[in-house]
Amino acid sequence: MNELALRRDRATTSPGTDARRVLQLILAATWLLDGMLQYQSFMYTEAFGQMIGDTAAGNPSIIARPISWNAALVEHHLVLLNTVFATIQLLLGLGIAYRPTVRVALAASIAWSLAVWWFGEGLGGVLSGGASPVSGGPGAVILYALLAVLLWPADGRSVTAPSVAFRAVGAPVARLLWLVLWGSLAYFALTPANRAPQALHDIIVSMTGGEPGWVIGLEKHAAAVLAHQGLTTSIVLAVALIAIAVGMFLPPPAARSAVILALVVAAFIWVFGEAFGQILAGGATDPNSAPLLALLALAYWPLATAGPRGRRPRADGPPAMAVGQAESNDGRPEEKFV
Amino acid sequence: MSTPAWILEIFAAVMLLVAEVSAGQLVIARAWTRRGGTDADITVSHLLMGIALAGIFVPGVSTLPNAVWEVVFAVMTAWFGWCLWRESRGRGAAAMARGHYAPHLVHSAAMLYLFAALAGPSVEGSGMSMTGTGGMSGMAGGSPEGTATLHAPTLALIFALLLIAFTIHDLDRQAGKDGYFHVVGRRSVPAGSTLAGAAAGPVALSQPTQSDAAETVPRADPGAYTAEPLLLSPAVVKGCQVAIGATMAFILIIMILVRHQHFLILYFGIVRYAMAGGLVFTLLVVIGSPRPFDSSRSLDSGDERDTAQPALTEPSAAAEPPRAAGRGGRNVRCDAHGMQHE
Repeated sequence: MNELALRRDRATTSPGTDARRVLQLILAATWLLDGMLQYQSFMYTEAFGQMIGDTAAGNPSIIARPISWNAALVEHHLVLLNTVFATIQLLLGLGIAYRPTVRVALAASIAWSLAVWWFGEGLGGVLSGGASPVSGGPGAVILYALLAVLLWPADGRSVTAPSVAFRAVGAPVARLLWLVLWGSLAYFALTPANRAPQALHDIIVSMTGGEPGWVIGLEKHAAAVLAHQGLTTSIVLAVALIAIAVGMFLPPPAARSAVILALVVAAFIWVFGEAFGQILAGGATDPNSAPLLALLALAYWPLATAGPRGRRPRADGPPAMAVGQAESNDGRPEEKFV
Repeated sequence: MSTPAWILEIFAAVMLLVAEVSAGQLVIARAWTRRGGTDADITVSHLLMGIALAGIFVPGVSTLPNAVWEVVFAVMTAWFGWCLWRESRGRGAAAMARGHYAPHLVHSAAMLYLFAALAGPSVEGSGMSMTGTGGMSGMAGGSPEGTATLHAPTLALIFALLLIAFTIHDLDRQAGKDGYFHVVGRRSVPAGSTLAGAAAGPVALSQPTQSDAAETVPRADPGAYTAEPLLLSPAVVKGCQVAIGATMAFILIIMILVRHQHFLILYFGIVRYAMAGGLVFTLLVVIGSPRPFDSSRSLDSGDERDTAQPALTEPSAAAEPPRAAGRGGRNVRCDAHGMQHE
């Protein structure tokens, strides 16, 4: 009887939920949150169109012109377009969470992310020199696309994947993407605009508008600590980011340390630099870049027990695993990767 | 401009649909009978949440005053808290988070918060026409931007994130795969009946005994059978749960606007309801009452309960030795799901 009860207990775990699926679900939850945030009242005001238009500033005309066109379009058809935007993001989240549609939703999320990165975020300020890793540069939405690629439900040629991120694109490409991402963040941390004495202080202070009292307190305290320390802070941050970037090329223990450092940096950025994505201020379109950086880092977490696909399932696994098979993201049976 | 009314009306319509489906499930399953009431509490909660949320979105369909809803959801929160505790005691926080009742507890608590946070005096005084009806007509004229706001938006965000997490988790879970999406009072159907496969989930496909069939036939209601396969399917239960979770998260998210910081007001409200909930909890403990609809359900009546009703009276189940009672005198007979027991 006890055995029967335990089997039922285990059965409450979703069949076929491996580490990659868990990360996919977190990505789905983030998209769902984005979609709901897009329905907020603020997004139905002219300020939303202006916010899009402002991202054109500083970009080359070939980049800026479509952004301005998009901003004008949004201002003219605000209710319709914003509702469409919100609904698309909602559907992306639901689609990734629903196993039969995960591939379609991930593919659509890549296209959508790239479009929003250009037309809605002005390439995250990469070309205008305004990108700062502390305030969300190079744009949160591009990280969605990167995550969709890394979490794609295919195992490519990587038979033995030491981390989730390596499964879809292989270890060399995944490491290269990691290096480019964190290396570019280190570069942005050292740009003149970001290493100015009051740069970091000003960024943090600018995040306090409309926030609850306890967030304002946190931000003001951090801003006071970093006042006139822009250069020092930028150098420290850049060193940390470079260590993260190269850490993925080191042996697993060092790589694990780099991932942990990435998680810590992401947490600091989200709390102090991004004020929790300013969600509580009522005008955020997403939780900003730090949670996605953390999710990305988790995708690179070295799996100590990684082995060939289809290795023997755990003896105490759920019933679906007991037969050595679970359902893959597209509903087809696949061997478990625990 | 605020969130367009027609969007809110769509969500209200979905919630009303959920309420109707839940009501249909209760009727078809004869939830008021002892054998027909498995998971009736969950279905009743879906029914009430559907009605309440629809009333928040569209004042025209609101039914009860805010205060009444607060009491309703306070009791519901206490009930699901009790069920979850009973289901997972001694197993740690992780087991509690995975517990069958966890999403329902979060749903109920979020509803309680929603009404408590809306019912603050400052909001009522700010011109939102929620007077007596609980309606969110404030969406069209409450705050400067025309959107109703909640006290303690941080709490709203926490609830929203929890709801999103459970919604995504529910959506990922395959309906009918493991019996997680229980169907209220899913009746056993005669062996060989076409309903046997349709109405019951995969876990219920074991052959019922002759006594099952014999016992089921007199209760058969041909009229109800036409809707039974649909209404009692795990997919519909899953759909209702996902819809409620997503809608609740949606309403919390769109109302996160920091206009007033009356945390203390909310705090005292929560204290009040926590006391009421504690009272209910204490009463439940004192009475030692199991689930109201299936008090005789045994451990073995979990996923197989659809067709294995005789197990309710099997001596082997009823006479489980004391070791099954476990630490703290665990009552192995009172849980309907049979998934979290020793």
